[in-house]
Amino acid sequence: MMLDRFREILRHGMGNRSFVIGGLISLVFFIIALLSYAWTPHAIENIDIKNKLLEPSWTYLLGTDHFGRDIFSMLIMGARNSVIVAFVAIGIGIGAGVPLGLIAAAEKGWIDELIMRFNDFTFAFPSLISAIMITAILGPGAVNSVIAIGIFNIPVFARVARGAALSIWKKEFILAARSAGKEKFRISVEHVLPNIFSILIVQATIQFALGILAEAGLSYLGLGTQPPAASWGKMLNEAQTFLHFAPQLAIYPGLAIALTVLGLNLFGDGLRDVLDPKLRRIR
Amino acid sequence: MTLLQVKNLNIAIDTPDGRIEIVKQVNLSVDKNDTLGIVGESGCGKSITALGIMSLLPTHSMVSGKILLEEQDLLALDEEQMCRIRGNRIGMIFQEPMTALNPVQTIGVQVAEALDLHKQLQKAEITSRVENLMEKVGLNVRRFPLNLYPHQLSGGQRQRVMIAMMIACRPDLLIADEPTTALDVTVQEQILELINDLAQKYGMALIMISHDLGVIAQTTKNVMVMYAGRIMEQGNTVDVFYNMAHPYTYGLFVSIPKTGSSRLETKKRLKSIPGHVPDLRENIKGCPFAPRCFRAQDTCRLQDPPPIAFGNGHTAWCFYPLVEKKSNHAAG
Repeated sequence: MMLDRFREILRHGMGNRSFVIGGLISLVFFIIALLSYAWTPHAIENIDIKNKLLEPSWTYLLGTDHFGRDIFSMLIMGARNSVIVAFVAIGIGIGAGVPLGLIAAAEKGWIDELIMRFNDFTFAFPSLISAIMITAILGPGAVNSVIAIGIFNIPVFARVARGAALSIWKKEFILAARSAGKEKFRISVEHVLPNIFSILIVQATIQFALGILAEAGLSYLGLGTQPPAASWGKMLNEAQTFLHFAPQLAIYPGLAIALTVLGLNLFGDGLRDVLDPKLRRIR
Repeated sequence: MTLLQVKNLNIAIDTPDGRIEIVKQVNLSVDKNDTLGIVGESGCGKSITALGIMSLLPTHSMVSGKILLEEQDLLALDEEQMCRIRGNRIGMIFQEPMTALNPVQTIGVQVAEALDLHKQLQKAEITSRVENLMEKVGLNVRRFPLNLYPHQLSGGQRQRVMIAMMIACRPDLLIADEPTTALDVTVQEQILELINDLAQKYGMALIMISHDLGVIAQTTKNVMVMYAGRIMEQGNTVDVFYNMAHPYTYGLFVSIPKTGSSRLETKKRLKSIPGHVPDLRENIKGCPFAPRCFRAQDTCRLQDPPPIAFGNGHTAWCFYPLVEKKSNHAAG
């Protein structure tokens, strides 16, 4: 069944340009991130001042930075870093946000009010600034930046889950399930959640891109990933100093961020259209 | 023996426009193996009464009165206790079979739902019972395997699945809320027959809600006519249909199209009741049907009509009933 559904999505997706292009870019990005576990051309911890700021060559595909580290290898490690941060942050967002949204939709009344007003409260702060605030309190570091980004994914998922769940709760099959004697908790898990799954998946791809962006932002400010680990944001930060005579140091990570975020957003958009049969027919 | 007794049921919902009394002073009782029909136009409180019995009303509704299921007051139960009653002792079938099944679950899983919740059974036992139920509702398991999804079935077939789901635990009471309204006439007949057969076979009492007098006549022993959340007339179905006392019941009857009556012989138009169902937000004084009633007098608009008994439990709430009352004693 799962496989059939997957195949069906792929079949419909092939006709959707943003799904195909975005999917390919995202796929390449994930493969590169996975690749880092098996192989990188050079170890990125190796500082080799002699070979600093080299032009691209066969040994150093994209040249080296001011410490003589291989830029290509750093980009690969940066991809891995972005994937991990975004995945964990989304995990936090979904893990806490979706249950909150489901509870709010199931219980309604003051519980709903409480959860949603708390959501509004966290929403009122611009997410990057709040992330900066949290890392400033908890101290800089990869783990803390993941937590900060994750916390700001919670209200996003809570809101999306609640809205979608409310529309499912109005359906007659929920009434039928209640007539069969099912309590709200099991209805939420067994009936509501599977029906809002596609909406959550689409939101997750979009939040994934935002997560990568936020991580790059935090690392750029020196609050995220710490040396010697590689991060696209940190590479941008370090490239600043050499912007005049080695602009490629900033261009490569910048391009990597832009391309990945673009690819993921396109994929998310395409996936939404593919998963929603109503939109599918219009195209 | 009385299975379900509803006493002075009132249901109100608070809205920004004020409190709406959707159901007012409803009394009904259903014996074991009994069948009760509830008739009325759309929006007259039939479904709300049923949902009230199931405790499935919107959270902000206010309910007062008593709903006794064999001496146990359902209104006094908390949600958890109520979950053990729903599907187990009272089952409910809904109007829209197209939306009453979860589109992402197989029909087998959904039919097994009530069994799974209320009976401690082994997996294999549940599967064999589900297959048995499917046969009972006329869906051969070989033609309709349990791993089908609702969208692979027609409306009538889905309604059969719904019925299987609700009779799985053999409840004492089955509430059918317009079970055939969304189906075409030929299928309607089969589904009604199925519900009646099963109710008889399993000794389930049946509450049949419909706006279709034909359905009620065909399936029920007793009937209750509702309008604007109140009971207008109730009694034995035969008595009510042959000696209808309330002008509203009469209005419902003459609004049924009859074959051959409109085309060639007479050029009569299809009769209907003038006006529309009252807006419950407005405070209704006296008989709610008075503005549309052809017999209404000033008293009707000022005072609540008294119950007037015509014998054998046949009662109408009307100042000017269409038939002579048998005695002067009002019976409730």
